[in-house]
Amino acid sequence: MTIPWPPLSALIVVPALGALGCLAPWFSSKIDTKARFVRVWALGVSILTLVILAAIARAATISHGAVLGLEEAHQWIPSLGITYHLELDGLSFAFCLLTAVISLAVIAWSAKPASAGAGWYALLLLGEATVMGAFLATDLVLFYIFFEAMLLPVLGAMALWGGAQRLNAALKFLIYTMAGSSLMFLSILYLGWNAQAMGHTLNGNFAFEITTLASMKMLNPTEQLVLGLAFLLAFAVKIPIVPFHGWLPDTYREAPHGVAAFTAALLGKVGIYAVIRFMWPLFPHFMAQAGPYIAAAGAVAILFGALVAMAQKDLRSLLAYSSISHLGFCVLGIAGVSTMAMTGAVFQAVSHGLITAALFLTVGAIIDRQGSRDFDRLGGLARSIPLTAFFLMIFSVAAVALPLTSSFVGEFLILVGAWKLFPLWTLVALLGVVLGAVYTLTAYLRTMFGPLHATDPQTGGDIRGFDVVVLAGLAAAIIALGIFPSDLLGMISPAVEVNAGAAVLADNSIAQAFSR
Amino acid sequence: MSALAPFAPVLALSIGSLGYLLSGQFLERTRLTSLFALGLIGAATYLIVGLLPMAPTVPHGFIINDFSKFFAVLACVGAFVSIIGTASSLADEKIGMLSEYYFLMLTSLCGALVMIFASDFLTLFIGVEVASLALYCLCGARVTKEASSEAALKYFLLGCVSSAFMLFGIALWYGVTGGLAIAPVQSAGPLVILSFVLMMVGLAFKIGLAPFHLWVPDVYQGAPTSVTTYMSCVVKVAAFAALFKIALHAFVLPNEWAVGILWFLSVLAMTVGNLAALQQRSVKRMLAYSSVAQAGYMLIGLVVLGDTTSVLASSIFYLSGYCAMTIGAFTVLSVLGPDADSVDDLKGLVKRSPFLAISMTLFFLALAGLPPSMAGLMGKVYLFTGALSSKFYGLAIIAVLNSALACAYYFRVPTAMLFQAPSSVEPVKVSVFSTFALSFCVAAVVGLGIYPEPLVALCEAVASVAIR
Repeated sequence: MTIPWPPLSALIVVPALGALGCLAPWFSSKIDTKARFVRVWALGVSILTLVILAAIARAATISHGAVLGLEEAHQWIPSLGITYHLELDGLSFAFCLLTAVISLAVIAWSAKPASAGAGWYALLLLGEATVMGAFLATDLVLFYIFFEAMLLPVLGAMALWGGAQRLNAALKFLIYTMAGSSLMFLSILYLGWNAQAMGHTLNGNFAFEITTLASMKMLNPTEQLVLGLAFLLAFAVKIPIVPFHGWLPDTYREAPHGVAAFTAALLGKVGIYAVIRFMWPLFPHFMAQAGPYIAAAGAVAILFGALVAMAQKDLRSLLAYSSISHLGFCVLGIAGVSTMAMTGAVFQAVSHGLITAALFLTVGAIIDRQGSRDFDRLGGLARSIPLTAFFLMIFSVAAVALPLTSSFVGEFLILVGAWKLFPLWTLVALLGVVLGAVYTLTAYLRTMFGPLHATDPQTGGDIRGFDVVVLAGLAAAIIALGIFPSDLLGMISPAVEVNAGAAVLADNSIAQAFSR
Repeated sequence: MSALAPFAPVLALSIGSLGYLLSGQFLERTRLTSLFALGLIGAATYLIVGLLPMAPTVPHGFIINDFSKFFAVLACVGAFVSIIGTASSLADEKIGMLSEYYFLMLTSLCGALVMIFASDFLTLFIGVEVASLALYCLCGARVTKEASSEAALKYFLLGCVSSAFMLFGIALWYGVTGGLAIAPVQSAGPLVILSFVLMMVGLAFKIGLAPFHLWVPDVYQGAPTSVTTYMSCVVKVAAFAALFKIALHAFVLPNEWAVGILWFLSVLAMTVGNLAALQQRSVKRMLAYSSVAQAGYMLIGLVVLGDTTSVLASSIFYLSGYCAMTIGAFTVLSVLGPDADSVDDLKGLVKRSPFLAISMTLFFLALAGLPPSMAGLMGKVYLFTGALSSKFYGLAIIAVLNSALACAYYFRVPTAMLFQAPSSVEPVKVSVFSTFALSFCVAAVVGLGIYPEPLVALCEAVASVAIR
């Protein structure tokens, strides 16, 4: 369904304008009212974005049956064939919802770097706008612009308020992602030109719109291999898939808690999303060939992340590697044509986003209040900060995919779906599940129970006020998705089928590849 | 009188600039000095846009068509903006005599216009020499500083050698064709190739393409910042106009050997420029090497020139966007003071002047080809698609890897400005003139990214004239 008035743009424009609005009090003279005003303003903007998203989805599903499919298209640069084309289907919706919720949670979270003022909220809202744009754009050039742009607010916030090594970490992150995405940029241009050369475009210009490109079936296997590898490299760095994860430990160690939560929950998800949205329809043949390797990379990531996480002494590093491990499930899920595994991967991505963000925030609170992030210096905290301990318990068991939590649903679907395609790698992944339980619960036990280490009682306050609401909200979302997953799954699965299923039907070689 | 009409803009500029020499002592050190120069350039621009009749060939060595008009206007606008932006910093730079300074600048612009309009090699050479001679002097205009004189001497000596190469190329051309007009050559014998190579050497020197770029960092760093601002745009525009004209009209690209030479020049320039820029702590030297690399990208349009005009158009588009970026970046440096050069001088600029820091960040993001200032990104989309469409895959891959590599140093300056502690907290005063010039450049780099359609269409038209 195409809509004339741009409510989809509103999802990008509202937070972007909100970010500009955050800077307005710079011009006011009253310093005291400034901080409070900006916080309320940023909260208002992010709640408004969430409400708009919910309203659009609701209106569209009511008027258009159960399947969500909204588009907004304008000409942008006709002579280069670049369009401003946004689409909200079930796939985009799951990720946009995640983006809106996580942004709200991070903005609402009271702890922020001491020196951060209006800029903190401005950058977070800008981050929300750009990530939202990446999840909505279906024109490849537009997608690339958002894909690069979303890096800048995160890097900015990290470089302004991160740890001691923040500038090096930011530079490393930047170079990794730029190096990864530059060849994708060229591949996008190749696709656009190829569409023109094949004469499949309107008025003989380039075309970058995904449905136009995917419907043409114009790429021969060699082109699919080369272009697919370039795309895969960009997303492998972003997700990250081992061994392209070099930027991740530094980034997660140096970034402020809120930014780490935002990055961990959202940035990598763009990679997962893009593989399903762009790579399967564009390069079905390549994906069928590369599937086993991608699955292997996913399984290796699960195991590698878990093993390295077990060796960590630093809470934030543990979270970083456990994040790699859990993202491995998503990678396993998107590796093959199985609607179940792919739906599970999207669901797991949403669930992982919620859980990781919650964990980063909670652990951030512990680190801030105890003044240490080292296991050896933490211990016996359950008595002094019971509320934090309670929430950390919920998020930890959610992370190890206990039933009734959202990640159980996601990992279950992925494992069942992938079993038929990649039995070996699924077994490896199962091993990772066990290891995940071991290191997560060990970490919990060591920080919350056991002997109390030298902790200054003055600093050891529990979370309170708004932060409790934020964590309770995230916990409620995680459990609600765990108990009633069917609504969200019902939205994701048709969209996934459209993206990957069409590829299967179109390219018989894939069916052969899998029947062997 | 009508016979003089094609020369009106050049005449207006040169006669006006003579006025500086006559009345200089009365105008000295008043705001009128710079306003008079701006007025003259404005008048020349108006004459180019409004009055110049279309004349495919003028017997006296000028060719006036959409191509030459576009480049002439680009050069004039570049000169205009760079003069506005840096006018208020001239006093700090201790430029000897302002009237001489503006006389030289207008003369050099005059030479640039002659280069752009020239329809035969002799006129072209005169234009090159007029533009260069004035610039040699301008580089040494900061008489109290040794580096300034060094830059002038270095530029002069190397410039003379390159002129000699060019002149020899022209002589060979005369020997082969028996004429001096820039018209298609009939044969492609060894003498023609040699003539092409020699002329390329001369122009590659003026543009600053590797391996003829050795003067660029020293001159960009040693010359007064105001002069660097001016030459980083105007000289490039004029030299590229001459290069396009010679390559397209005299040697009739595409032909194999010329494409090979240009391919090599382009790849060498972007790689050498970026690798050298990686190691710079001086922002001026970094921008100088970056200009070498960017010139390499701009050459792509000429290398891959296929059956369509759009590849050349993309180079012209990129050149226009680049002018805004480089003028903007050097203007910020000139506002910071005559000796602001090292990355350390820019530390914490956002605390001293948010406007300067944010504009400079936008210019560097544009140079790196990143949003939100997407003039660079759109230029690259346009250029690289063109390279791919003519099946120059290797060139496209080298170029895109280079632009990823360039991010490593382009980000050094915004990082210092935004995220590092300032060495002094003293606010920087930005004059109204500079604010205007910077706003213009910001509007250009952001606007060309968001709404490039009109300029793209214009560039297509210009390129189609050039190729015919």
